[in-house]
Amino acid sequence: MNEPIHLLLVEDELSLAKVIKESLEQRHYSVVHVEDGLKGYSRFASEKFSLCIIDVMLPYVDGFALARQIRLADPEIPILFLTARTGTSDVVEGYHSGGNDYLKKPFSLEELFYVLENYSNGAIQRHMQTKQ
Amino acid sequence: MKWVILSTLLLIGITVFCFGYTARTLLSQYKLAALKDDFIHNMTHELNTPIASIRVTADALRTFDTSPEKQREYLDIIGQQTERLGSLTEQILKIDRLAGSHEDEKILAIKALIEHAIETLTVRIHTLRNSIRVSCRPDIHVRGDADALVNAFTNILDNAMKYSPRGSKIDIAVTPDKHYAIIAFADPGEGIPPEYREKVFEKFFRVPKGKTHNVKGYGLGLSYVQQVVHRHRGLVSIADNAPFGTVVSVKLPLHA
Repeated sequence: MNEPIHLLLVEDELSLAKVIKESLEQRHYSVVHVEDGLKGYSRFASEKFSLCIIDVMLPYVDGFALARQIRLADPEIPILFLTARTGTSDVVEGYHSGGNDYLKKPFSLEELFYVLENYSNGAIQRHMQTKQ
Repeated sequence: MKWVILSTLLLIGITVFCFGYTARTLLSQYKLAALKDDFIHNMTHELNTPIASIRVTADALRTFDTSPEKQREYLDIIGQQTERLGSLTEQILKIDRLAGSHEDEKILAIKALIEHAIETLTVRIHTLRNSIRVSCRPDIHVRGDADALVNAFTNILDNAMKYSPRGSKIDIAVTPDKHYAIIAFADPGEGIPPEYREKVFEKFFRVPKGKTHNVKGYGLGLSYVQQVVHRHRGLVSIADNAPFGTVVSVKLPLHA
């Protein structure tokens, strides 16, 4: 069996994060969850992840700023935003800050799985190859 | 010749006036549109966040074969998030109900109202290890709606705790003026910049922090406070607390 894909989930809505984490683990992902932008970056810097799932409205450091820091350290890693900020300007800023995809809350679990599967088949593989 | 110059000047004057008037109207329209956008963004965010939790949790229950304990845990999440949505609508309705209500007013001791508000927050006060010091004579009375005033004082205290470090001391001092009682809630928190001290009373307004989200809230608490205080023919204002923090002062007419 393949190694599970290792994801970083940065989300301050604890109940949502818990369900997402447990659901992804059922789908053979391994998930590290942290609840703010500061912890998000320190965890990213200390561990090797294949994808980051980031909320935008976070304590201490917002999701866009976190994505910019992650992007500086790793230009290839796929970054997916999960957020209730649904304005066009937010979505555009999300892409400018280095995000690859933007799932608007409320999203379905199926949409999340679908997006992640797409990355598992493409970007994550490429990202893992460049890291080897 | 004189008439031509006068007419030209008049025409220039009218043109300048029209231009200024149009610019002013456009500016106020622009401000109104920005306020509306802010309101819609905040509202969308506050509604979509619990809805997302409910949807994802319901999806997880449908998709996976979960144990009875896990099912209960997930159903609890759905219940809590539904309550959160309910509390948001309740807060909005509370403001509207207040605007239209004409309940009988009673003579009330301010000290008792403050104690009631503190009692409402007892669990949080203990959890956060805060202490609240009240300095108020028992014989200071106002005429008003006890529930609305307790709710308003609770909102002010709740904010003071939310924006202050754990273990903070919050002071509530009541001083009778000539015709008014001044109730000052002083916290050692992060303070409110002068430019936002009026705006924080607008529905859904929250002091901008970019996209960081350190303290959760709907931006309704102080709007409710202002409505309650105005309905009691009083005033509410915000000032600095030295060396840091905020003082929210409520001025209510004394009952002689």
